[in-house]
Amino acid sequence: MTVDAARWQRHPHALWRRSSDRVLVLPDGADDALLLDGAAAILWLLLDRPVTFDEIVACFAPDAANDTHDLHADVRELCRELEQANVLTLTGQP
Amino acid sequence: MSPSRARAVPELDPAGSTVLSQHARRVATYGLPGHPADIVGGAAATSAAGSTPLSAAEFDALLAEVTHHRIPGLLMAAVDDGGLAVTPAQRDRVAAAHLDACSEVLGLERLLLQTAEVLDTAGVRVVVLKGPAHAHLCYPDPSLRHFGDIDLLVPSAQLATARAALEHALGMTRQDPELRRGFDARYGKSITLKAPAGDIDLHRTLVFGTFAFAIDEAVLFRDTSSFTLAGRRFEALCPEARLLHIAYHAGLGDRRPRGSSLRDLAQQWLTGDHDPAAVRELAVQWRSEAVLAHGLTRLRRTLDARIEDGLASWCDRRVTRSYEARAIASYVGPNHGHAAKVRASLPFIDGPIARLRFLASNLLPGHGYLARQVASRRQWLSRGWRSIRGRKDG
Repeated sequence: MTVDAARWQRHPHALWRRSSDRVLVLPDGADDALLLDGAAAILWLLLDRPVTFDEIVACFAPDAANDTHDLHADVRELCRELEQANVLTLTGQP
Repeated sequence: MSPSRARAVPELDPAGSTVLSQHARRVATYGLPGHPADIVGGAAATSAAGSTPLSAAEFDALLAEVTHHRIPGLLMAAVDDGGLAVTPAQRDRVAAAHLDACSEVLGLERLLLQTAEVLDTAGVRVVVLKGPAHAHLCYPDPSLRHFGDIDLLVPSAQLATARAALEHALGMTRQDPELRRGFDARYGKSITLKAPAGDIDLHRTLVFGTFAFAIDEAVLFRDTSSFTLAGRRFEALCPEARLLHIAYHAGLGDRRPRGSSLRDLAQQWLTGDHDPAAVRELAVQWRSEAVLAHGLTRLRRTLDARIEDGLASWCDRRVTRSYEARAIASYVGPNHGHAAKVRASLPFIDGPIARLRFLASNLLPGHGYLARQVASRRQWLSRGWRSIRGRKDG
């Protein structure tokens, strides 16, 4: 899978519900649900279809216009954390 | 079928209009087309902007009602949309109640996935009823619909296989013994299986006795709808059968129906993808026109729901026959109960032999069932007779 083709998506086996501006996710195999709020909840709602990393960054860019370097790093860390928690996964499919 | 006089259904639940407070009714109908967009204001109001939050006592009462009636998702939506003015502390409590409900349904949906896998391996076909199916198929957002158990329809010929597979694979235990050998697959409505993660109701059909005799099992498994959960596709009833099942539950399920059941009926009726002509046709086939009409009456009376369309007019015009009224009363009337349902079922059964078999199956329970009921056969018969006659059990 090339970097350009990789897209982030919700983990296909995660169960979830939206509650106001937060999202409750029960990852596959986890005993407890995770409560996503802030940027994590926004990211989950953005991923109603697979999205590239650059598209995710662009979504958050208006809120961090002065420091895009930090924004890239923060979004990358957020995606990786959610991937480790079985909330998100990478796919090559558009 | 016995010839019967036509007459209106008596006041089966005259207190139905007081089941929910005015505020809770507004919550239960929140977001429906043609209904108020605010919880507190007058019918003409469209926004709660500028209105005053409820007092602490009023809010406590509303939150307790909303929780009991399993509609915290609708309250959360009303708060988010500005349909109910709240203090920051009240908002936090609404959010906490909704998150609790969401957490419960996620656990139940995981149980549904586990159960479906077991039944799939056992070769049992499954149609999901009620909670998860309604949440994902009837509502624009499943977060609006809370539920407390899982209901699955399986073919009657596979009911025993399904139960055995779930008991073996997931350690589920049956709540009540079978009334009599062979009763479940022939006459039962459902079997409740208990598990630490929640209850599973394995259904053979949609209702016990009476109206169930006209339900064609093949139709329940034909032209099904579907929804996807965690990557797995689930079957659900087709929209027309779903509307009738919702009406069974709203009209016959409880003497004091939950707001969520009545909201389901309003939601499907006003926004569902059913064909009204096909609903009428199916209701006639299933001899359940009176149930549909009774559900609509309850919905209007309890939630002040505004439903005026061709299907509703058809229900309004129909005159309920006396045997239908007795059947409905056996579920929600003052003398409701198993014995009353058995008696009310007789006009729905074709042929004297079939009636006798049904009576014998219900009047002569097995020893295991009687032991659980702490009753002798004579006590069982006496109890049933008293309940039909309208006297309370001792």
